[in-house]
Amino acid sequence: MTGWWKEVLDRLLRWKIPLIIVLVLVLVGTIHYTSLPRPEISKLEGLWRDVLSPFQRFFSAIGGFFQRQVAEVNKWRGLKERNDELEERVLQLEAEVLGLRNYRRENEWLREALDFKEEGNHDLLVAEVVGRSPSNWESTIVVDKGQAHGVASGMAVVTNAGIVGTVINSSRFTSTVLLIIDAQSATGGLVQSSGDLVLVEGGQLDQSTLLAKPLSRDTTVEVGDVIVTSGLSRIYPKNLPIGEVVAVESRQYDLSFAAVVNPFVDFTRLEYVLIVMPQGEN
Amino acid sequence: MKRVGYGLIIILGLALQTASPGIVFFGFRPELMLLLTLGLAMLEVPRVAGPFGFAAGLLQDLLVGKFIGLYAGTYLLMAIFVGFITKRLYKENLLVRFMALFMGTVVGQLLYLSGAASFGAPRPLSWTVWSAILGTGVINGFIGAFLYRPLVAMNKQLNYLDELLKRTG
Repeated sequence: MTGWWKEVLDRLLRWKIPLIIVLVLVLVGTIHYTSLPRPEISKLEGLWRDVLSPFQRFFSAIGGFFQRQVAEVNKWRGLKERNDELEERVLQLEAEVLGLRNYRRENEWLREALDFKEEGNHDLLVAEVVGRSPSNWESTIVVDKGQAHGVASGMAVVTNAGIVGTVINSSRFTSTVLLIIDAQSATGGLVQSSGDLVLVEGGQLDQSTLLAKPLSRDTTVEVGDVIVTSGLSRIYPKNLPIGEVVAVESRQYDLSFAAVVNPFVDFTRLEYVLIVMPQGEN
Repeated sequence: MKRVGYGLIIILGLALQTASPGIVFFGFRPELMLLLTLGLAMLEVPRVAGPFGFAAGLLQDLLVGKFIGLYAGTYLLMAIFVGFITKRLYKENLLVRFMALFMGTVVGQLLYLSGAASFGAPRPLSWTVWSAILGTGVINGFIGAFLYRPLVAMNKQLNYLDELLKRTG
């Protein structure tokens, strides 16, 4: 076997220049073909991802274990301090809950009065995060639900804290999710307090914050404002939380500005996510 | 035997690199496949390191799902280039190893970005991109400088097993 292989390799090396030309042409062809958006990944890619996912899951489990241990140690360290804070917070929240109950009653009454129908035209599918992008140039995650579970590209991915990203492709048992912090990601947002439309983009240096750019000159954004999804893109349902404005920066001779948004989702600690499925898919 | 060993190294390396939460040092993630390719290029002749880099890059390309062949071509070139350059260097010196891996990582990433740019995904070389490139280069340099000796020992063992298998059939 080894002798045969060596003989083949020697023969190929004798044809070095034509071989290099063919290799370069094939590479250029595949790079060009795969540089364009593809709705479906090839069978080979799907198979390779499915083969690698148990290994990814194994290393993710080990990584998750260590992360939890470190978090546990940190938690114990500040437990006393946190306890005092929490007691204070409980009192605040109890007061808030009382207020919210009043709002809820009022809301229910108003809904009945207006015969308001909830939209609710989607189901949620729980998926575990089993991998991340192998490259530093893409912020993506791999989840353990794929075409076999009804997942398709273009579906929104969220957590109870806020939006995470969109499914960009799926193999049979896994799916790749483009995170909103990725440079290629742009999401339609709404400033909750004013109702002004903004475009929320990723690709920040720290890979943990977002940039909200106004879509109109009259847009006003202030530190502390909450940005939610506008619902105009058809990908994300309306009013899902995106993040909170932590800074407003002037751009180009003070003629425009951009707001730095701290997302509600902690992308370094994602373990489970929810895939928004059309009703009846899940 | 050697090829099986290298295949296992690639699979485990890719799984480790893509695991969640993954390896992160000071906010930067090492490029493990590039690191392994450069490490092997410093040990072996381009005829061995080149195909290793090509295979590692191609499998990484299949995971990324975009520009399939770009990582393969980049790692192949880097394996040949670094193999050629470090042939003349004293690799036992820690600083030499660090610099070789740092420079290799930086050039490799620039090559990938240039390739991506020529196929329609330009990324301006802003401070964000430069800091990511240099940060990954430093992390790769540090890890690789210390990983070099275990890699030498493992490669020696693989060569020995390969030779043993050849002689015993």
